[in-house]
Amino acid sequence: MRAHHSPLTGWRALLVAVLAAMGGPSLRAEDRVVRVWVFPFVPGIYQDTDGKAKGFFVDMIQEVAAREQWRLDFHSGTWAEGLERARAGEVDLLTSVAYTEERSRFLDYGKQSAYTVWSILYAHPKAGIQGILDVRDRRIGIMKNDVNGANFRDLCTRFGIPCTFQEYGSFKEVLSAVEEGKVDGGVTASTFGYAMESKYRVVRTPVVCNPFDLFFATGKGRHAAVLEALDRYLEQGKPDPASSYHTIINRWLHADDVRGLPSWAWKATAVASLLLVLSLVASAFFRLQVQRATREIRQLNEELEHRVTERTAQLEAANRELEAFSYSVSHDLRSPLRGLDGYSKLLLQEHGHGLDDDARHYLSRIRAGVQRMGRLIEDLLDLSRKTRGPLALQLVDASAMAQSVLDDLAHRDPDRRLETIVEPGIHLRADPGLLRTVLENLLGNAWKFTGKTTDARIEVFSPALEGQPQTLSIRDNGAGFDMAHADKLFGVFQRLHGDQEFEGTGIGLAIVQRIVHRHGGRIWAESALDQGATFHFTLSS
Amino acid sequence: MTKQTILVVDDNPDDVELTLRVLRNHRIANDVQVAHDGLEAMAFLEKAADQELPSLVLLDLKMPRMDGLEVLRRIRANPKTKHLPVTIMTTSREERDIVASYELGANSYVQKPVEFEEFEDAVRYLGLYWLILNVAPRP
Repeated sequence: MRAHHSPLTGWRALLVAVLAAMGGPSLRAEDRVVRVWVFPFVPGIYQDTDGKAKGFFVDMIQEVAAREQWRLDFHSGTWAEGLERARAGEVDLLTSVAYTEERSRFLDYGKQSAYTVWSILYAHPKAGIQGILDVRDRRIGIMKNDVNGANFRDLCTRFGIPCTFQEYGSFKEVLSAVEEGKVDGGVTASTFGYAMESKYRVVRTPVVCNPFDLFFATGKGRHAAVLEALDRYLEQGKPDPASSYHTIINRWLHADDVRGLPSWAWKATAVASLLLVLSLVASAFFRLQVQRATREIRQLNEELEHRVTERTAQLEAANRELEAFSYSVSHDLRSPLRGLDGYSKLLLQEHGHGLDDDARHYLSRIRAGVQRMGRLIEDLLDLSRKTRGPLALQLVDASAMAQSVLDDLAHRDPDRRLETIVEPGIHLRADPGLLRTVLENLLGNAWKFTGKTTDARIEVFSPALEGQPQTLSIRDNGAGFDMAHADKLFGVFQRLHGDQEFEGTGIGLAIVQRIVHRHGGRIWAESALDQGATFHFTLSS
Repeated sequence: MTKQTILVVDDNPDDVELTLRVLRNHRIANDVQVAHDGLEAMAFLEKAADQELPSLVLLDLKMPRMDGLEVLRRIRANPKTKHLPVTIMTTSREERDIVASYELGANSYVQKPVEFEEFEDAVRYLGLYWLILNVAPRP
């Protein structure tokens, strides 16, 4: 029967109701009582934990009942029980009934299909049932008097697949049995399966079959009006997607339909989208921060470079000032000295005969002072010159250089007889000019302070000192010095010997120390009076 | 025998006096002229160029108004004085002064010693060399 969507039908019903109401107490008085059977068939119909009947069939029936003014009376039990009670007339309305020839003998069916279902085979996760052929020789659970079970059995027989069947009271029991491994697989209706499968540790196999219609049914010969009312409802509702029929179905099946998304998935998606948006905003924000920070850093870098360049320029300027200062020192300090010395000498030369011994002595002291001052100035300038300027580091043959310095000393002082031993092959990383100055000073000192020693000996060697970088040592067996005053050794103009004993301004070691420190090394000495001295230095740390 | 003149260009009165005394004591030159700075030196040389140039110029570097290097440059620029023997006598030992002097054509460079004996020797040897030993260019 094709249903035609006609609002008039509803109105007609209302009109009938109004007329009936107006018609008289006799028609109004009787509120029909409909005893409805409830069995476990989630989500179509079932008894919830609070004892109430729920499900989409229940919602439909309640809607129609409200319209028709029925009073609903729910009774619950198993599916099979329901059939029996209906046959016996103790129950008025059955839901979810499939048509069979046998049933039609004691049941009246509605004309409209209430819902279409099919059978699904569920299996134990370890059963390995992938297709119908895997069912061979397995144990399959089915619900008693259930069309799904009967259909499946029929299927197996026709395919020639032998297997054993175990009957249970409800679909719930079937799936429990599968989960517990009592049977390898179980057959349920699709509606139940989709709604409940997540609650059991079972696998939905690809085996589906036998789609069929579910009907409302009543005991034969009774309650035709009920069926008619329900038929009308279905006839109007099914073609109209906006009808309450579909609203009810969607409410029960859409939410639990595993083919769609479960409700938590929608919530999760919403949350995820929100998080995504937030993260995008955050990342944009952070990117902005990073950009700003990068810009700042770049700016700071430029500033830093600028400052370094400035500072370098300042240092260079300072260096040049120092040079200019030394330059003027060398001119302006020395000139008067020349005058002092010159006039003193001329005095002695031209008028010496007229002077007594004391006068001549005073003049000679003046001259001595002047000459000494000249030497001090020379040395100061030397020190300043030697400690300015960049280091030009190279690998230098220090042994060869030491030998050359000793040769020079011998050349200037040919009358000296002394023994010199230079260890060959000592190489140091140094500025050659400055290294030469160091050696000239140290060897010059050794030469000088062995001046009064018989069997004088000067040695140049490289001792292997643990944990030290390469060290060069110069040892002599000359006058030596008292170690108690060793801290004054490298002071500018500091001397540990009087001018009478050995000449010198005391600047040599100060220059040597400056040069050694500029190379990043260190210098130290050991000595004892009259037992010579040994000076050690390194040119790196 | 031609007159041997030495021109001393120096702003330091002590150095001038000492130089003169040495030259006189050792009878090195007949005539010693003194210019106290570069301008005086140029004025003297311009006049002398037409008459008789000095046999030697002892030229100090650090002078006011016009320094020694400028004097040297001008001496060498003038064809009349181009070949004049010039010895730089200065307190400076700075590399750049030495190089500049030779670049501009100085004949020799002597650092004025502080010790009088050395100073004496320097002046004597210079005088003996340039006036007696050296053959001067005559225009």
